[in-house]
Amino acid sequence: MQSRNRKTAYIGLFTACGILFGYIEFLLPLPIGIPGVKIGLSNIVTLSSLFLLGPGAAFIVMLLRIVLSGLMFGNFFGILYSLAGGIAAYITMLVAKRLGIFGVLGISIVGGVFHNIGQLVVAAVVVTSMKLIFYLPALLISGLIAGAAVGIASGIIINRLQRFVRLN
Amino acid sequence: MKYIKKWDLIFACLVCFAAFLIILYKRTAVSDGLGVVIYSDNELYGRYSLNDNVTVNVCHGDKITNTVCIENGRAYISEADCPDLLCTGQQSICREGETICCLPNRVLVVIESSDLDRYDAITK
Repeated sequence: MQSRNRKTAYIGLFTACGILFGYIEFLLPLPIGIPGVKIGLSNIVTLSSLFLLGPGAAFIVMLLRIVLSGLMFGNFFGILYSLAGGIAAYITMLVAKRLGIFGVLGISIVGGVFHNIGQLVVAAVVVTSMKLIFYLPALLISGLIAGAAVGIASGIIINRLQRFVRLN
Repeated sequence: MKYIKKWDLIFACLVCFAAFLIILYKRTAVSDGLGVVIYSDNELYGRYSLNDNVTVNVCHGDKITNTVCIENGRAYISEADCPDLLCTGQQSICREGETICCLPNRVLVVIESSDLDRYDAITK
């Protein structure tokens, strides 16, 4: 029972961190004008919780983080797009982790790339236009780079926290 | 648990390659949804789809000055009453941004894309 309480506490902690990271990102917009290009700092939290807390907890962290920060800072469509991206990223990261062939960097890249793909697909459905595929190359590359940066940070964080948080 | 494995780099290369393919596809494919816009005396005279097969007579007053043909996804000026006939000698146009103009009659034929790429809202 004690481990369940610990897990709940850690989920709360990580969710709070995720919201914080999202807010920091909101404060520092990237100079690139393409819509949807972002660093995805909150993916650090999703990825870290995937390794440290296990897949179920990581899913809860991701879901809570998106909904809460969306309610606080965003609008309905923002939540919709973030959910699409977040769920796509989570599922692909989980699969990538289970496959075992990727390192932390690779899993993060997978997450970053598919986050953007998921967002683009939902956006195309919402505006019912296939012309949005126009944005795919830029989003793929930015997802790749952002994923790499996030992956490096996540690797360091997971490495450091592993000793204290071992609920996997 | 390692930081970097071989497959990380392979996947990164695959993503770059996919982006590259999409860029190539965009450049070579002739997109549909393009429109032929005819301006006469700097005013909008008519807007047609590049997919139509029409013959448009551009008139000044009651005189037909230029005849614009749209067929097989290309547009060109087939007849004109201007003295130099440079407009009829021009190659037919089909890609966005291309133009044919008849300066003496102040007629301009432009390929423009349809309005689907405008933003309604930006989300964060």
